[in-house]
Amino acid sequence: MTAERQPGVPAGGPAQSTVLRFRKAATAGSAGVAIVAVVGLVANVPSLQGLGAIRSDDRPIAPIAAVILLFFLVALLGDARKAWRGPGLIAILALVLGASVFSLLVVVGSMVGREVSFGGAAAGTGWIGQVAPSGMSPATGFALVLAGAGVLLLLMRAPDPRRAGRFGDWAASLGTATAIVGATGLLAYLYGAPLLTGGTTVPMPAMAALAVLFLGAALAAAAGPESFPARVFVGDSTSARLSRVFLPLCVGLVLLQGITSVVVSMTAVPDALFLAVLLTFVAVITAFVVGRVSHSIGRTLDASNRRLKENEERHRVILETANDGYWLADSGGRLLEVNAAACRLSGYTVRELLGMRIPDLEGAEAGDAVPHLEDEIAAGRARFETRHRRKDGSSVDVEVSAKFTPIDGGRYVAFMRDITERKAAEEKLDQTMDELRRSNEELGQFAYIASHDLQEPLRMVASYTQLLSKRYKGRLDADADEFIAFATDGANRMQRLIEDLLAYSRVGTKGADPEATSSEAALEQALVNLRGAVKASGAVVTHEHLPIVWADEMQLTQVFQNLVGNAIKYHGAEVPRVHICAAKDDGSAAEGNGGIWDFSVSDNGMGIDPQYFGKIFGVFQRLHKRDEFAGTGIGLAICKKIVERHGGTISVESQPGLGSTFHFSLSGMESSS
Amino acid sequence: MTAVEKGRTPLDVLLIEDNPGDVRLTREAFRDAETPIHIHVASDGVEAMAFLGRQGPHANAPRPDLILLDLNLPRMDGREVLAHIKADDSLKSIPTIILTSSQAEIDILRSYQLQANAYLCKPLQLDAFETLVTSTSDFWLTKVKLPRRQG
Repeated sequence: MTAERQPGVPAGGPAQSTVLRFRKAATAGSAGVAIVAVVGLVANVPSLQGLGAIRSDDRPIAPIAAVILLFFLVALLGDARKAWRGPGLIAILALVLGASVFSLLVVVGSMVGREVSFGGAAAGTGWIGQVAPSGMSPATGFALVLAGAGVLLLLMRAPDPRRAGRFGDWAASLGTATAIVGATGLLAYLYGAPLLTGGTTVPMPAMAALAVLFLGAALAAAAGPESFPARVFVGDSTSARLSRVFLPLCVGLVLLQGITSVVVSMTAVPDALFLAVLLTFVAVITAFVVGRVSHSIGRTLDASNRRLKENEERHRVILETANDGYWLADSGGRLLEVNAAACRLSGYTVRELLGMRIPDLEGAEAGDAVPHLEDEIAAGRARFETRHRRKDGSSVDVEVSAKFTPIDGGRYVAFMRDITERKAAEEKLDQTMDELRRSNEELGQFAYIASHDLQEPLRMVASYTQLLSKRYKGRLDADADEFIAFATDGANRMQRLIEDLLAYSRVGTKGADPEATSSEAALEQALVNLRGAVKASGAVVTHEHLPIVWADEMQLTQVFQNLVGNAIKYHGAEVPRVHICAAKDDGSAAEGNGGIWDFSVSDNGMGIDPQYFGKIFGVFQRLHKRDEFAGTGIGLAICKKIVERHGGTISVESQPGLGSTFHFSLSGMESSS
Repeated sequence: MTAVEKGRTPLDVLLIEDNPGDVRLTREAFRDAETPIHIHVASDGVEAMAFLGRQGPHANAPRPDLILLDLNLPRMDGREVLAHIKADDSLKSIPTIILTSSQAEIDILRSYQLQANAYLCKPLQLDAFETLVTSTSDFWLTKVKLPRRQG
């Protein structure tokens, strides 16, 4: 016997121990059938006819009935070991079917008399009530028809798992019916009235009744605890527990009465006394069992009632304490339950609310186009915002969490949260954001226009000081030459500052929308733009394979150009070496769009003191004197503005004398990997 | 320096520019050129059209060989002037160069759509400005082949 689950036993079905117990019962029943059938066959030998008979005139089981029982037994045992497959299954099905049909013919034959003849058993006249040498009782035949059908269904459930449950139910039911027929036959002997004797019909031999009882039990057990009717008795449900007590009690009492009456009939005890003792005994037993059961069931019921009450109380306290309004409404939207918060929210009393329907409370006025609870739930939304109307006509913004549950013919459960303040705050936030956006835009526009318009007069100043210097250098005195030189220098520097400021403000105002851009191509373009500086310094610029990113190509080129340009410009004692690479940020894989790429531009230049890291990305921030390095200090500020405009970040790692590495991040594209 | 030196009559350039500083800078730039060039100045669009149409005080104005046109002008701006010139059969063949401080994409596009012959931005540095003016004038006045004068 294996412990594996039978087909058709759903997960979460009967406990494994129950399944095992049923298998043991099936085996025990099968063993019983086997013993009775074999003994019955032997008993058919004339000299051994007393074997297996309860009373001296009992006939043994008909050989054909014993053989059919053994067929069924083989079918059952094979099924328990899952031995029937393919041709074997077909053969055993045919065998069982044949035996069942034979049994059916016995029954039909006994009902219609000699009109039916079969198996050469109809030779004589009036064989009804007689026993043909190999004939069996019609009662046995009937039991075997039931058992045969049950065995067939049991065998057929294996190849068709979809119907296993239904087949199992029928097999077990038929097994139970078979067992009842057997038990009835036995009881009839017990009461001294062999079944269907009536003077015209062959009675069912006691051995046959016993064997049929075993077979029926084995069949019902083989179908497993999940099959009807066994499943009625299995499990922890109250009905199963009650059934397990009362069914055996009823059957037991009936049996008791039968047995004792047979025993007593053989003695001289007066019937009245026997009846009195029996009834008293039955009353005591019944009272005891009912008392025990009432006690145990009652305790359980009391406890669960108490828990129910506690639960109800707890739920009531929760709902009354809640600051959110609560509705329970029927499927037509009529309110059945509300809490105090719902009254506060709506301005109605509980009594008033209970007469109302959900749509009566929704919308600032009738027909207002706000989301309605029933529509929202029908559309599959469990949470939505809407507006409710108060009793005084004012409206209140609410967030509704709602659910439709099919219990009690359909119920809507809804919680309403007053979000008037949140709505107001959101509106205020939106407004502030709009204003901020506008003011930011205006500021950017202002910077652009201001620097652009400043250029015109400055061009005049610069041009004429240059003209002055060109025409009059050396023709006035030395002071004049110096003053003109300062003026020219100042004008030139101011021009550069304004140009850079313009370039900086253009990052925001003139940038293109980001698109899929090859960062490698952007770097190549930057290196073309820088070829003069690269050649002059002898710099060695190397890079690894760079990804496709989401960027404005011109601006990305600008970032590379500024960073590589700086790396070359602020070189150390050695020949400048610059290396550019990009690595995928591991933590960003879930962000979609190909994740985030971390670019780095490393050099072997003079490095930067960490105390200036925060400063270098500011507008016009310089770390060197003007006569050491040219430039206004806008380059890194532009890089920062570009990278941040793309949603990335920029940072630096450096030690003075040990070179610098600038990192910046950009969103990648799926195709880049 | 070119064919002009071979005794041709002085060339006429019409400079349409409202900023006296730029007018003077342009004159200074041409001063260094050896070409005998006569610069006529119109300080707004209306005056420019009067000059080209030989109206009023400009009755005896010559037909210019080259027009240098600023875009931002009082009364009638450079775009309108350009549109008028290029719509006039007798004027449309005069090379008209936009010389402005505007770098706006829309101005560049619009000017070429109105058939400007070139669009130049005023350089910030004096040297660059002088070089641009002289080389452009040299190109349009002496290098290119234009139809015969009609007036």
